[in-house]
Amino acid sequence: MRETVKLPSLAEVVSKRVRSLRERRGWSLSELARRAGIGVSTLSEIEAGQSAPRLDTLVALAHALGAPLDTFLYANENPLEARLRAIETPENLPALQLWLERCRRYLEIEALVGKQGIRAPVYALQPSRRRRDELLQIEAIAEQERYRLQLGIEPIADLVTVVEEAGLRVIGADLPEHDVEGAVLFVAEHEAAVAFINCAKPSLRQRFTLAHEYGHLLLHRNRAEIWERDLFRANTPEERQANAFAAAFLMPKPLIERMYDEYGFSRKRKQLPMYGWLVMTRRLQVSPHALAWRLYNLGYIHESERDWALGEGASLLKEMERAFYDEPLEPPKVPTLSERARALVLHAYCQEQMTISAVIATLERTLYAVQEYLTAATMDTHKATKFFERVNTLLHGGEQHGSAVGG
Amino acid sequence: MGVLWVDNDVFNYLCKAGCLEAVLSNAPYTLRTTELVRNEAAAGGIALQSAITAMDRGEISVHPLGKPPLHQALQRIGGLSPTDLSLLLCAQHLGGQVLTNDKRLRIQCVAEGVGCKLFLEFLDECDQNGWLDAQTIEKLRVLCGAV
Repeated sequence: MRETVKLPSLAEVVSKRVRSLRERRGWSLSELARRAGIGVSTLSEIEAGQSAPRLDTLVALAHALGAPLDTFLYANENPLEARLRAIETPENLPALQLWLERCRRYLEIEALVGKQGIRAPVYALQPSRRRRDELLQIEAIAEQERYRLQLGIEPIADLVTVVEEAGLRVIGADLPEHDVEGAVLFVAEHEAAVAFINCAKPSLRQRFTLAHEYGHLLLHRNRAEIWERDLFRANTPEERQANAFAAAFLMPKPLIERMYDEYGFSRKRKQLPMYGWLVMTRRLQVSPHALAWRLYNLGYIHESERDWALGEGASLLKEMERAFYDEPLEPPKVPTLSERARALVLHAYCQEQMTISAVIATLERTLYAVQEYLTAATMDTHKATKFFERVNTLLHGGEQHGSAVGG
Repeated sequence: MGVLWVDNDVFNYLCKAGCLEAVLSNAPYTLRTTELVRNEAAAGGIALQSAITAMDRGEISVHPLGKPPLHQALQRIGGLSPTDLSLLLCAQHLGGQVLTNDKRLRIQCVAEGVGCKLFLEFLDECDQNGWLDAQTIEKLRVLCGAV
């Protein structure tokens, strides 16, 4: 490598990161040593930076700390790491470390293939003393955004693809269920915005969270990063505005009106019949919770009706859904790596911008499982068919199909 | 004839074609690799077992992490993994060429002035010198999509 900068020693980097991660998990030296299956004195020497650990020791430490091995190998810390400290806990640290690595890889691929940049506009909210005026502004922004993205008023089937095409990168995080819903990071150096979604939450919740983070991108991009611990209890103006955007974006008023007319629900009664709740939540792909707030803010239901849906109504509706439908409403979960990211990886590989080793690390696959598919990736279908026939004949005596190639 | 720093792509082909031992016995190169390559191979499961066994027996020498030039932390290069970087650094500082079928890795080797032998060139050598039989060479060419 061109040695233009003085790189720190591996011993130094490992020492610093192992100690930092151990302390952030709240473990003593002996606790980490026990979990990694190494001696306390060995760990002590590693943390003192006296020597670089053997790879098997480093793998054991990485495993025990729940951090990807790459964390300990590179000279520079992931710059996003410091920004995640706001939500870091000893319990979620491994999931955050993995998320950081996924995020770093995604942004690196974008930089390689020159697909950086946020295409979504920034909407400026006019200061308003009345909550109602703010809601009307956000309603108009959501409508404009749906128009810009050519979504019409129908429910959005694939929200991840929609927001990714608009410039928000989506990466799932395997956080504990009780942890944060999500967050959005603006990464100036990559001209990118990344949504962080807790994959352990119910998929309806993930969907609303993603729309909420997209709201932050449109409304608050010019401010510093925004974090939230609980969307529905958040009381800062930014969180309230992002929630209002998510509701208007996922549940457009014209679609709600059309459904009211179609099923003959009365706006005057300020109540919905039970089946109305069921039909609307399924059609709009939202939770009773989200629908209740939306209908209340539109003035379609009373406060008491809203509170019913937020309380005992939710479990009653769940039982009713079980009684009437074969499957519960389950929109797709947010993936750890989106369709777009996977497509960019393949593109970068085929353009000779990524090595196989980098591809398998990014896709979290083994080389043996994907080698033939990567070889065939640039071939036309005729050549690829012949290729798989030949490989099958060679490896399996021609008895198996392409899907079996690569074990 | 020198040292070849071998990547996992190549080990995978040789293991699938069942000819790693023949290469080790007949090709007059010293095959070397790095501990990071070995670690990646081990994660691949039983498929690369013959390569792991050869490494453990010392037939393929494995350069450990922590020893120069792998005593320093790595500098990120877009599109390359730490495993790739370890091979590049070893070939650059300890001599020899990187043996790979990976075009991106070759591009980086050229950019860094590091010797690189593409797997197909190696197969041609094997063919010309009779280090592997014709059937095995054909098998390897098929596996890497050359025919």
